[in-house]
Amino acid sequence: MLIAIILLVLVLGTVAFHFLSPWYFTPIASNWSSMDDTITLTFVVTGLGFVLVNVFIAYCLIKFRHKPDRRAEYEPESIKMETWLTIGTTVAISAMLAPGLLVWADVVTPPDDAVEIEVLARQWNWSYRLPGEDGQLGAVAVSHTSSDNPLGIDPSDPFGQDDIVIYDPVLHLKVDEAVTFLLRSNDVLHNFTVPQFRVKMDFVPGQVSYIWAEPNEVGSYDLLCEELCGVGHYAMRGRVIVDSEETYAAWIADQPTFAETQGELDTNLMAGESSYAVCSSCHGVNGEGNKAMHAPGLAGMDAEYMRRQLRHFKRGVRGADEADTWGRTMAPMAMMLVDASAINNVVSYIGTLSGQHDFNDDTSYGLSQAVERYEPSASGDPSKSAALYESTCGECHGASGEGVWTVNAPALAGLEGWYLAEQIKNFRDGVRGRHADDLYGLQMGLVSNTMTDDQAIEDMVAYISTLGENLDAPVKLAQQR
Amino acid sequence: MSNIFTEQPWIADTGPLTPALSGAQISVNARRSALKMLLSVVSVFFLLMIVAYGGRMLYQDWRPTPQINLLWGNTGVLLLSSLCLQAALLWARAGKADWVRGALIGAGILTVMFLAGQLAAWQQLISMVLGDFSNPAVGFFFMITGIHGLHMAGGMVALMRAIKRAFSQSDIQSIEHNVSNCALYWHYLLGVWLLVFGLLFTGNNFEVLLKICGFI
Amino acid sequence: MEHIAHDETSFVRPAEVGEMELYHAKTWLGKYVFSQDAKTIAIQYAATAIAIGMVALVLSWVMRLQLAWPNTFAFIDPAYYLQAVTMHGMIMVVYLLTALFLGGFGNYLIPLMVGARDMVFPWLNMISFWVYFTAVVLLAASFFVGGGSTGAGWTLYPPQAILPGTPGSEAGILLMLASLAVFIIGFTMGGLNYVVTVLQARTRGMTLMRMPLTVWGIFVATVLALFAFPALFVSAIMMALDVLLETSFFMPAIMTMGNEANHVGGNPLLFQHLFWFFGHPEVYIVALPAFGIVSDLISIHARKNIFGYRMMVWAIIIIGALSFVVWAHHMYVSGMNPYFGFFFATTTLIIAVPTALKVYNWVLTLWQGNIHLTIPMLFSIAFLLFFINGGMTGLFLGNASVSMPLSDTLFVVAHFHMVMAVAPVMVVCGAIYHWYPKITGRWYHEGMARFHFWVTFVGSYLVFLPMHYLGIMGVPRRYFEITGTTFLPDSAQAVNASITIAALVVGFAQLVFIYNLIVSAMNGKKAPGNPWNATSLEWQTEHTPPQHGNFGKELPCVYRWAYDFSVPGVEDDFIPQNVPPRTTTPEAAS
Repeated sequence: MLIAIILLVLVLGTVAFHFLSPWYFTPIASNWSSMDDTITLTFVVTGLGFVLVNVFIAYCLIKFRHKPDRRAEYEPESIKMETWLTIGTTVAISAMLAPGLLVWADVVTPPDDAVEIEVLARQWNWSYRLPGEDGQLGAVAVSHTSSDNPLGIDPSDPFGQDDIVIYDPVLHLKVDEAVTFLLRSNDVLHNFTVPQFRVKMDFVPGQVSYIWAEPNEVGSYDLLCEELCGVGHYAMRGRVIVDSEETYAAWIADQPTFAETQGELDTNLMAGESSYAVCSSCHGVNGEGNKAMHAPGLAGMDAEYMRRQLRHFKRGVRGADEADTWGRTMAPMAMMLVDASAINNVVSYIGTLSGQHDFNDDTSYGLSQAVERYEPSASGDPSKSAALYESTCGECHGASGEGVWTVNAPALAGLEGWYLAEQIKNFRDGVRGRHADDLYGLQMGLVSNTMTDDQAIEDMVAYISTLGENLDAPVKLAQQR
Repeated sequence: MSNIFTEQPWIADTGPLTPALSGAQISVNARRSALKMLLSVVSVFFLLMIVAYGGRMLYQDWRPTPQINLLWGNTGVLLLSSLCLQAALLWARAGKADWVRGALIGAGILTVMFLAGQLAAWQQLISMVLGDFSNPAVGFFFMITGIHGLHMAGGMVALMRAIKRAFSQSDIQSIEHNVSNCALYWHYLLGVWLLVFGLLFTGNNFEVLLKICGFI
Repeated sequence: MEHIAHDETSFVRPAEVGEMELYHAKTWLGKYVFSQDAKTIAIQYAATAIAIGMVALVLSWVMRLQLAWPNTFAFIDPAYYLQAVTMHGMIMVVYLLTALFLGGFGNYLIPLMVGARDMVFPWLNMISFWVYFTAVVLLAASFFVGGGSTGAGWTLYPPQAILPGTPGSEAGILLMLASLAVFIIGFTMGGLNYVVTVLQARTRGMTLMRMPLTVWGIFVATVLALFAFPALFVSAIMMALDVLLETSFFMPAIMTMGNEANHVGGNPLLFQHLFWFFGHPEVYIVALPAFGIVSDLISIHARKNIFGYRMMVWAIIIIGALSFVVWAHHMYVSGMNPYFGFFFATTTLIIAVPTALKVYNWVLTLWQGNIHLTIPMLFSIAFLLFFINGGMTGLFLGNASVSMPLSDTLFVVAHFHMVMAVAPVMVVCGAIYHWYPKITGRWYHEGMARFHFWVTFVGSYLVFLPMHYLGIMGVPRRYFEITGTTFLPDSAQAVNASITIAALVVGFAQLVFIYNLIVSAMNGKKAPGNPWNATSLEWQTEHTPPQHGNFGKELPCVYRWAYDFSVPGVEDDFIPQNVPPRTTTPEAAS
């Protein structure tokens, strides 16, 4: 008895749950409403089947439950009944399969006038490439891929020179324009999913797969990787922003071509030195840093990382949060760098700095600073966080904290303990990295969640400070003076 | 004879059945049946490898393995070992005990020679490619010949048992089913080897493979 | 073998093959450790499978704790989470369910139900268990090697499975592949036993169409296993060679952690085709024995023949055959040639038809039955609810375009748990309770069993129903945490928490089950030889529990099918298979 009642409760409860719960597909923002319609049809057909069969079961449990005088019927089979059931089921299933296949035919056939955009997925970030004025994407190969040419564009292919390259996880699209996404991966399987677009497809290294959609709602959408690609899988987030035509035009005008990025690599160290003058008041003449000013040492810091941070400071992607006291001082500094060339120049100049502390023998100022910078943290226990670093952080930042350029993860070895601790806390608490355009910051925010309390951060910082080489050399040098 | 298509199982038998006898021998049929089942499973195994190999051949960067003439010799040795087993089977049926023993030992020696020859071919190939296994044809070669060799080695276990029984039994016809099973297994693996060797390793038989698979 | 004559003359059906010689163990080791008695081997398989299954259950708690309360448990980091996901999945599908249904239930029930004294190759049977045990040890060892076990998902997709960035990409994956290879060798040995015993060792009168559906389910599942495992074996070897020799079966030209790797030209999709050529039949290897067993449970406890027995047999066979041509429905968004989607969507929805017929027949068995709501019957009803639900969601995922928004989300996870995990586990529980009196000679504790049933039934539904809706919302699978998106509501986190609480409760209820099984075996009330008044041969043994050789001096002769329940004109509501006609009780026959 109870079983029949509970069965009915669960079945009818399921139906109620479906209609009453707020949890359903996120509103569609593309042309694929035919997919939504077929899903609705499938719910109707399967829902009817689910309810009817289970209600019939409950009925049988009540009507034919054992009673002392009860005897079951004896009917080995009924070919007629089985035939009708087969036909009925086949009809119901065809009713779902037919529209499903029709929609699929649409899925596999992009319209001729769709714009082609290449998406490059890597562990654990996104980049994009548009064909540029010649309307054709240049040839690419893994062998051409380097930190100066992350998309691996063949420099000898003329079609590639005008390709518009977006080395950032945020992609803009024009509303009401069909796009064929050409999906390419350099390392492992990934997947391109914007839930509001409905369609998704895996990236397979060694080939180019595709999916097409026509976004029809202006808005900002999450881009998720949905094929397990390693420890950073859940933190591999991008963003697709669908713009009106004018906003899109402004954005695209801002994006460099491949030729331009190769040109930007020429540097002017003199200009960089004069730009650096204002930075040195906090970061030190030799880029050695200054703890009292909360200014980290810059010498030896990853060049691409510094460029990105300066861009972020300039646009308010970093350092705009009210709680980020010291980050906010960077915004006006970064504004002084007019364009990408200026940023590149100052970063190249910083690359020449020694990071040495200047010593004032009277106060031993430099020595204590050097010691402070390079001595392992007193309160942290590196052995506690070694496993976490090796299994998680190290997969992006390198087993020796050397940084990995494909992941866009800067080197950690050599960074000051106090600075690392401050930044990890900022990531974890959302003070840094929560701007909509800061996908790497979001990534760091997600992974720093694994350090559930401040002691865990101290332990991690203590471990990181044991990484890298020649860390005690500056201390020894200072002690010799 | 009742069969699974027409039988109406709810109709009971009429009349009593005599009970089954007890204490009889393990069914010879069961062993043969198991061997046939095993061979179908092994066929699926090799077929998958051949299909994977064929599919890989379709890529633009396909380069076949370098030719190893030793393999022709190995093929001949394997053929001889099958002949030995077939002879052993015929002699077992005829009751010629000593001939059977000799043939079984001969088959065993030839199979060991085959396996040694395969290892030598492997050595040759390793030195030809200088230890770099990224050429897919090379990878497939090692995998397919390795799996085939392991199956032959497994068969040697059964052959050893058959040889042991051949020497301990005076009534040679009683081990006919052992010899028959070994013969079936050996002929089967010979067939697999001829297919694999002929199709995949004697040259770039790309068009042949495509024709067989129905692509052209 | 002659056609059955249905006239009055007596008819002697000859035995199809001679009876086999039994091996009698002489030492304690030979009787209980290296046993060649299928019943002991069955217990060994079941105990090992359930033990490693408990490990996988605990791993599921780790996953659930992280999903419900992210950033709370310091010991769960993204790498450990992925390792838990992977090992939970692989253990449950392969090392628990396949081993339990084929090695556990198959070994115990097949010889008894077909009227044989034991399996046809008892020594091979013994070896097959110890090979399986070795595979389990290898798998468990992967927890303890440097880098830990693999975290590539139970599907082990390359290139990531063997590249840095994924946990266990060095030693862990190799141990996994080795363990799988050893498992497959063991189950090929076992599989040959089960198949040949059914084909060759049935007792006199036991035609194929008189076998209980339990045997049909396990038999066809074993044939599937024999033909499907080679695909996994091949892909395991190829992946191992890619790791050890740097071959390029699955590895194209790639960058790994900033450097170009030494591979070129391989195809990751080849692995996926091979894996799913195995993987789809694998889910039927788990499902078909459950189908067979639940048919018998429903029939016996409703005192009614299974409706449409012949159709049920053919449905099992057709499902088994079709299961080999649907595999790429796991690959609609894999990047394979999208035109394949048309073919596989069609075959997948075709396979739904015989499956639906089975559901109708189970339900029609209840119709006009005499339903006893015993523990096994309750679990069978639970199976029906879960299987119908899971089967319906399968229709979404099998339809290529409908599946697209749902692929790689928790909808897929909810679907396969409903249909492959919870539903067969309901059958496992029901089956264990059903055959418990025969295997142990004692009754289980009824109160604990009812508690176990209700908590597991309602709790499991509350775990997996909401999970579908998380997937519909767009929550991806294998995600360490789902914060930081702009489209997921905060309530999604609350759903995760409620699922976890239900899962933990259900998990603990299983401990009550295990306790009941162990304690009742020692102290339970003694049970009669055929407490359910069932018809199949295992209930007609001379002793309970059955002794070595199963049937005493004489093997039974079979005159009828296994479903003579409530036969008109017969006083008892059942006639065992070995009772001759015109005598309607076992006593009158002798």
